[in-house]
Amino acid sequence: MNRPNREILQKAILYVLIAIVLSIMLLPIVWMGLTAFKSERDVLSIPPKIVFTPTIENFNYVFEKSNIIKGLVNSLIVSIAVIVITVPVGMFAAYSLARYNIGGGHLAFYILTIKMFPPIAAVIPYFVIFRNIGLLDNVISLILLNSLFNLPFTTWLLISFIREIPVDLEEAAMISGATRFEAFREIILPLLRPALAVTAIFAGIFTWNEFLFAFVLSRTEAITITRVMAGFFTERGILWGPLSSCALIATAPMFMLALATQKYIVRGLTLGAVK
Amino acid sequence: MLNDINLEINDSEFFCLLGPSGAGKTTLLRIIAGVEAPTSGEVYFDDKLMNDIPPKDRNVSMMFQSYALFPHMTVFDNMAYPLRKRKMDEQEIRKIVESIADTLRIKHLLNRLPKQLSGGERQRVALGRALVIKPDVLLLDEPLTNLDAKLRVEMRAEFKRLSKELKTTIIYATPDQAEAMSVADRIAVMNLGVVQQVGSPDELYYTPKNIFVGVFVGSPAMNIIDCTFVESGDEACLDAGEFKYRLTKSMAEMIKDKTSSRELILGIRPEDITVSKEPREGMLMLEVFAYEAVKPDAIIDLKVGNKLVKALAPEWLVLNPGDKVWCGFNKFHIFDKRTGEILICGVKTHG
Repeated sequence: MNRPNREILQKAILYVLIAIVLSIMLLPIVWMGLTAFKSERDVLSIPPKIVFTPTIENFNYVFEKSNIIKGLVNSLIVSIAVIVITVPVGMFAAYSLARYNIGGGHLAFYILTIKMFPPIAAVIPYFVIFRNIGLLDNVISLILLNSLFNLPFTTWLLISFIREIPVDLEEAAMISGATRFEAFREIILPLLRPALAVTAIFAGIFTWNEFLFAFVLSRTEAITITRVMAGFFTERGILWGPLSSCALIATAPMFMLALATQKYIVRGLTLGAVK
Repeated sequence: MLNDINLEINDSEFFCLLGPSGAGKTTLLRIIAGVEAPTSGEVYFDDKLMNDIPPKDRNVSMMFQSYALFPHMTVFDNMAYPLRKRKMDEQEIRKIVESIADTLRIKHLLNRLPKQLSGGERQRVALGRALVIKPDVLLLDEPLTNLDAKLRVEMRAEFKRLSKELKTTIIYATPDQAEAMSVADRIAVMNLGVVQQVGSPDELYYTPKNIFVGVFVGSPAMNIIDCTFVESGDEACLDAGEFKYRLTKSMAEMIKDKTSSRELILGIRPEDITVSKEPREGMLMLEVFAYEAVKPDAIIDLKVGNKLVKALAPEWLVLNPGDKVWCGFNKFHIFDKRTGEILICGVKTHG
């Protein structure tokens, strides 16, 4: 086989492999998208129907029978609040850890271990605590918990980003007459903007998707969109149609956000890969 | 890490910190600048104690090896930064920045971002930023290291000229001995955090205090030959295996005064070895190992036992490996092998 042909064959195989992997990964999403528009009969039919008459009865059901609006609003509140808390706090923590190495590595490690802690082990104790102080079924408890568990992540991500900025720059600023804070505000911060955006997006998405705490700690007032979706698993069985519509609505904002910021996200994911 | 440094630098002096990587030059500069605190000891500017004074109040400027230009600011803003921090009037700032940019020939780049500049241009912007405030002390950390060889030599002359114009005290760190020797008034040679010797370029070259300074300063480097101090009765000599050098009584006394060790080092610079194709009385016969046809003086590698010694030969003397030549040592130094310290400097001989 001569060169050009072999290259074409290699490319073809590569594309086929990618197509297979993509199909497997996208299958549930596509299925969800289709199911959202199927009538109850079509949903459960075997073999699954690809061609069908779309209907919006599921969406109607969702808006009438479930608390989707409240769920969306609460999810939004919690996500934004968590971003507002974890990103600035993470940034200052990351700066002191990256530049001063506060705690000589121990503190940094401690923060990392919080991330390793399995949330499910924390759920029961936190449930009891929040119940005792009357914060059950309150978005505040969700904000607090999500902030706690996202803070190590934002801190660590920002430490990597800050380490990319040479210390020389702050020193040059300080020798030129800036205080440390001015050096931070005028030199580091502008350079850190993309990093802060990425960190905020990740923290936001993690919180938006969070299910365990939302499920355990909310009843009627603090329900998030994830909780609302759980409501479609009833004693009568799983309401696939409405569930899919709800899921579609729930994932739409995050999907569009990720699409709009994909350049930043890729950078965040590959950070540290080439060093 | 630095160890017990005691340096006094004079006003308006061009003072060099010379040493290999890891010698502590950058650390010392940073301590003077105030971005790093010494674990013990004091820093004085004239008679003022500076230890607790933050960098911004010390009226020093520093030019970093990496240039440390603010990537998100234009050249103008980079250079204006120190002036803006001093709350100067914008008109004034513009005048000063433009004037310095003019001197450094970067006026046409004022609106560019650092990433749009070449290495040489960035270097001049960094220098400009250091000069705008007319500092008491100008600190330069290996400013020429990242430039190509030709530009480096050009900039060396620029620095020398600038230093005469400016009258600020300049402290300049470099690992390049030729650079230091050509620009500095005085040099502190450093190694592993310790100052080996402080002196003018001439002092360091002609009267090195120890082996490190002897070898580090001067190119090609000083040759190091192991020898033993041997005394038999009234006679004393340095036995280097391949040859012996007879010592005068006073020299022998000097050596015995300074050290009890018998293991010594004979340090001889390539330029102090004469090489001749004709056999001469009293000269040492050595075999040529290699001949490097560098201009203007060729470097000859001579075999002394199983070691090599470098000598310089004028361009008309062409040699081949295997040739036999007769060498004389015009001037050498004697060092104590154990401590590295100088014992006798500049022993002049007639072969």
